[in-house]
Parts: sequence; C-alpha cells; structure tokens
Amino acid sequence: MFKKQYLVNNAAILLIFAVWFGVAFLVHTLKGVEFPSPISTLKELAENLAGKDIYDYSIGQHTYTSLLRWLAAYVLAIITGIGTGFLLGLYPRVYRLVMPLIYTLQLIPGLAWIPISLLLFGLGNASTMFMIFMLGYTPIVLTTAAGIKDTPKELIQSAHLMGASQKDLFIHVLFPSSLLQIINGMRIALANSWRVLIAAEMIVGNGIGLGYIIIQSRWTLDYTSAFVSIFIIVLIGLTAEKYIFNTIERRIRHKYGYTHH
Amino acid sequence: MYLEIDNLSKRWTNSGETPQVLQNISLKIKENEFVCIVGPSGCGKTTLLKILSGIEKADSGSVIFNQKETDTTCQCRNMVFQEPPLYPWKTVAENVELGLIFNKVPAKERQATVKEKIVLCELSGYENYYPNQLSGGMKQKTQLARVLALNPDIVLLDEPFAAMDEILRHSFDIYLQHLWEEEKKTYIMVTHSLEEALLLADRILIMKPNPGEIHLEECIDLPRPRDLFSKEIVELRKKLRNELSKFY
Repeated sequence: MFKKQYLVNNAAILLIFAVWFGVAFLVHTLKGVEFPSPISTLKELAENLAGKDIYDYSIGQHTYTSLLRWLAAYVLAIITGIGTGFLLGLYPRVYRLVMPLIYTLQLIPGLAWIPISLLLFGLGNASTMFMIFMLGYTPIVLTTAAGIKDTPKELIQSAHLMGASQKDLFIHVLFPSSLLQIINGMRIALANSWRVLIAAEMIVGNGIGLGYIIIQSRWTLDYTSAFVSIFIIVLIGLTAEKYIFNTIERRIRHKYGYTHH
Repeated sequence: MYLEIDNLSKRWTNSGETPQVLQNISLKIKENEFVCIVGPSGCGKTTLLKILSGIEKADSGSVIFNQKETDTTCQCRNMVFQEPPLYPWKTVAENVELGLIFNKVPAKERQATVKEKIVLCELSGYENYYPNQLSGGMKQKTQLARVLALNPDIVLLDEPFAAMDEILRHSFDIYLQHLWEEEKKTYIMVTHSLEEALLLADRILIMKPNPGEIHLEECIDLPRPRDLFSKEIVELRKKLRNELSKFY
C-alpha cells in the first residue's frame, strides 16, 4: 500500500510537468510566443546554479534573502499568534472582544496589505515583513483559540477533580490538546505568508529576492528567469509542507492515536 | 457519621421549564461502605454523584464529610466516569501519575505509587501504552488506577462498566470488589444493573424520577463473594425489580 501511494505521488509530479509541457507547446504553436518549457526552465536554473547571475545577484542570494525575510516574519507571527490565540481561547471576554477584529483582519486579501504597509513602513524590508506577518498571524490565532476551546470538557473536568491548578491545566491538558490545531494554523500561515512574500517583493522589495526576479523579468522580457523563480518558490513551499509539516503532524497523530488519512 | 447528605435539592434552569432534579435528598453513608444507586434515567443519580464530587453545586442542602461541610472538589473524593477521560498524549503510567503531579507529590514517591497502583489494577506490562492502544476495559482499569493513586476516601463511580457486555461486566464487578477489599474505601456507585448492585453493595438505594427522590433503601448483609443465583439474592432481585418497574 505504501508503495502504491509512492507511485501515485510520483505520477502527480509527472502530471504537473506534462501539463506545463502541453501549455508551453500550445502557446508556442498557436500564438508564436516563446513560453518557457520545463526544459528551458531547468536549463536556465542549471546555468544560474553554475554561477550565472540574475539581476546582479546569484540565485542563491535571491533565495536566501527571500527565505530570511519570510522566516523572520513567520517566526514572529507564530510566537505572537500562539500567544494571542491562548489569550482568546482561555478568556471568553477577550474572545468576544478581540475575535471580530481577527476575523476582519483575516478577510483582507494579501495584496490589499500593500498600500497599508507602504503607508505604515514605506518602501523596504519592513513593509515586506509586515505583510508576511499579517498573513501568517491570523490563521495561527484562529486555530490556537479554537484548539483551546475544543478541548473536551471531560478532560478539563477530570483535571479539576485531580486538583490541577490553572497552570497545570494549561501545561498538561489545554496545550497538548490544541497542539494539532496549532500546527494546522502554522501550516496555513506558511502557505499564506510564503505567497504574499512574493507579492510583497514584487511591489516593495529592494532589488533582491525571488519576487523581485518575477516582477523584473516583466520589464526585461526574460520570462525564463521568472519561471526559475516560480520553480524555486513552489519547491520550497512543497518541501516545507510535505517534509516538515506532514512529518510533525503524522508523528503527533500517531502518538495521540488519531487515524491517518 | 462519615458522609452526611442533608436535604439536598437541585433544579435545572436551562430551558423554560425548571424540572426538579433532586428533591430533599438526605442520606448517611458509613466509612468503607459500598453503596449502589439504581433508578431509571432522569432520576438524578448522576447529578447526585456530581454534587458529591464537587463539580456540580446543589441549590440547597449540604454535604458534610467528617463533620465538615464541603461543596468544592477535593482530593478526599474522586470520580470514575463511564467514558474514561484519559489524556491521549500521555501513556498509562503518565495518566496514573498526573494527579500526583498536580498535588506536588515528590518524584520518588510518585514513581512508587504509580508502580503500586499499576500492579493493583492489573495493568503491568501496559505502562508505556497510549490510551488509543488499549481496549475499553484496559482504559477503565487505567482510570481506576489514576483515581486510586490519589488515595481518595470516597470513590464515586458513574456507571463505570455500562458499556460492557454482561459477561465482561461481571468480571469487572469482581475486579472492582477486589479493589475495594484490597484498599478499603467508601464506594458510591451509580448503575443501571440490579445484578451489579446485588453483587457488590452493602446497601442499594432506589431512586425515582420527577422529582428525584430516594424511593427505597435495601441493606444487603450477605457475605462476599456472592452467588447471584442463591435463594436470597434471587428473592431480593425479584423484590427490587418490582419496585423499580413502578417507574417505567
């Protein structure tokens, strides 16, 4: 069964490449426009890796800068998001007061944060990181608060019967009980913030980053570089999702005895 | 008197109606007595247990334990639920240990107690299992070990074996009797099964619904282990069954 799944996963990757090929071929034959195919993209990537700069920086520098910007803001979002989520989950009054605000923030689309962050922080790194932070923060708050509130009443009751203090209750019951939901929030936040990073770099970036490559290629008509950037973006996203989050979640699910899907 | 329940009353106040769940319940329970409470659904027997445990409050009346009035949870009383509220992220041993951590028992002492209760409750070899790896019966044993680890004076049991089939439940009744005889404590058990009550109880209370009141008390002065098919038990069973069927 495990092997079968492995095959299906690989087939999915093949399908992606096949569709990409098909689109590139059709666009080329029907419209006469050069659409970067998987082959030309990978070839360009290989050249970039071998040392060919894109817009004055190596591909490694672009990727590293983007990752660093994203990581700093994402970690900040995790810390403050979990903290806020705990407050909301533990204190019903805070929940009623603050939750509408969180829901409202969540409804603001990623790109709509551009004017706000420009007004607040001007052009530059701070704006980019503010956008990443905002997109990561809300889902973590929501899932953390939900995790605390969803803790089975019986588990809380029996902790009280055994003489648990508020601190005991939090450490031994509420926190472990909401852990899966918190991780789920981190996963949503990862996807959200990684996507908005690219958008943010396209608008307010300062000459370096994966998003900057994409927007710059529009002016220089170097679409293959844009595809190289997209390729790296997707690769990093997939790696984080599949290898980091899936592994953590599977371990916890296994330990808690929840069924896999 | 060890545990004195005096004129306890309770109403539900959720929907428009306010049904009387418990009305003027008065009861005296001796140290180390095994009391079984039977009665149809809605007679307030579980509510009575919850009030005794301290997780639910009565509207009026009092619970006096060792001459002191109490209305909060305390380590002298603990409760065993039908659905064992075990923590899925903790092993059997960790679940048993948890209450001791809450009560700031030193680590060495904790280990010794956990070991002792694991043996007493027949959980040896399962210390490192997680709850999801256990059968329903093993989960219930873990809950019992967890409760007994805190050494309560009064153990309240809310239909602990109701989810089991008859044969399995019988073996768990014998097991419970063994625990009670090993470590003498006051057991107050709510059950749907007259058979279970006849097998275990020093005293059976039949409660009636609307309003919840004690309808009848029956002391059983027979030696244990009891034979459910002995003449006395069969006769008692007939009598109590007749009394119970009045409320259906």
